[in-house]
Amino acid sequence: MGARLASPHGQSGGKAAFEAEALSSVDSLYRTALRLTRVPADAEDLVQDTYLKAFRAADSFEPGTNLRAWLFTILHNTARNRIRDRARDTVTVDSETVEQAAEQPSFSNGGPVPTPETLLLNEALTPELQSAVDHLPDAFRQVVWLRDVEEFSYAEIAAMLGIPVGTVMSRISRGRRLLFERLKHLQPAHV
Amino acid sequence: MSDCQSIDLLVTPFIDGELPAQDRERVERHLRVCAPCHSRVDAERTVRTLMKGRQSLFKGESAPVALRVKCAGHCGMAAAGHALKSRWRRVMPLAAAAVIVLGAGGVLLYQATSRSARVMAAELAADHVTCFAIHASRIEQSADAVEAAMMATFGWTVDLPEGGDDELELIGSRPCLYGGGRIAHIMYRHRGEPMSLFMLPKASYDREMFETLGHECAIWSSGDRTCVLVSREAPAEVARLAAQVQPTFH
Ligand SMILES: [Zn+2]
Ligand SMILES: [Zn+2]
Repeated sequence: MGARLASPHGQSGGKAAFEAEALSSVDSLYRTALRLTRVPADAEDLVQDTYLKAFRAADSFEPGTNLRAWLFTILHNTARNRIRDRARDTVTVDSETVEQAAEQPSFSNGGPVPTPETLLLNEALTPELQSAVDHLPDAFRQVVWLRDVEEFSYAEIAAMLGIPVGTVMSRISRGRRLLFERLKHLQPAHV
Repeated sequence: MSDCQSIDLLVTPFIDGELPAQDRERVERHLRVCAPCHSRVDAERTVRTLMKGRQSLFKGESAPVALRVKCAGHCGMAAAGHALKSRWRRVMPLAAAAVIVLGAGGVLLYQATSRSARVMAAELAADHVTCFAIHASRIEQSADAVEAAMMATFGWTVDLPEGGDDELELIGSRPCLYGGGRIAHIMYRHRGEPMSLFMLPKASYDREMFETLGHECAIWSSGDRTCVLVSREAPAEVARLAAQVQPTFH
């Protein structure tokens, strides 16, 4: 974006640059929102709300930090608040069960492990992988998505989800292992 | 805690390359002697590699055009609707309808009805957002260069006003597509805010101004050409700017 963004317009030039850069994240915010809500109309709503809040709070963004991570944090906070509002009276056991599941180490019971190459060459994988990701419990899907698709750091993910870094790691670990259990049958039989 | 259990906590950061060298060596030493841990690391690494390798599969989905435009409309949060003292006729917004027709194409360019003015304004507001996001940082033209481009592309002799306003900065021009034809898109910044002046050949519209997709659009005709000014500033300011940037055609 270069020179013009730093042009001598003081506040407002900086603001336009900030807005343009923020808007360039709309695709990844939308995809992530879709994973959170599973309903396109809700995802659109969530993304719009995120931009509304982001532009209103533009002054609280620290220049030099990751704008994309900041937007994702707003997106996840907004999503959490909505869930809280909707389910004020419902007891949700999800996060607790999730933590317990994460504690149990899952040892694969020996046997040959498919290499990435053998799995990657398997054409049947595309729909299987998508479906496996979609079927992960929410808490695991979120962290695996943010790490392996959106490539955020542990610290950034921890800030987005409001959980400790250690929990981020154990959820990523558990999520990936669950994915592996779902996908390992795709290895060629003769391996 | 057994060795295997303590190693287990390090497996994920080990795979993601987020372990300090000392811990990394510890994990590597253990993996050389422990087959179960080794196969667990392989399994998790396989999934990590797979997900990375298939990122494009997950990133194929992009945001709908209407969502893009709506989000852009939240920029600036401009104060709405002062009373207008000028000769602009301000029409009520039709944002919802305009969003639906976006991207549908096939709009009649030269039909000068009030509805088509709104449709046109919505499409030009969308083009305004897109062009600023994609092109504004790469264009830098003087007024002379823009006038030369108008001549070369459209055969128009256009005098752009010199301005005399320190807050108005000319960025440059682009030939943009609209309704199957080419139109001139001149980009400015006013107090740093994106502002577009579009010029359409052979079209005539009533002088109108309305809000669409979070932008204020002023439309007027001069000779057989129509100008459209798009910005997120307040209506009174847009009316003033329209008078200021009004080009003269020869
Ligand atoms: Zn071990
Ligand atoms: Zn354009």
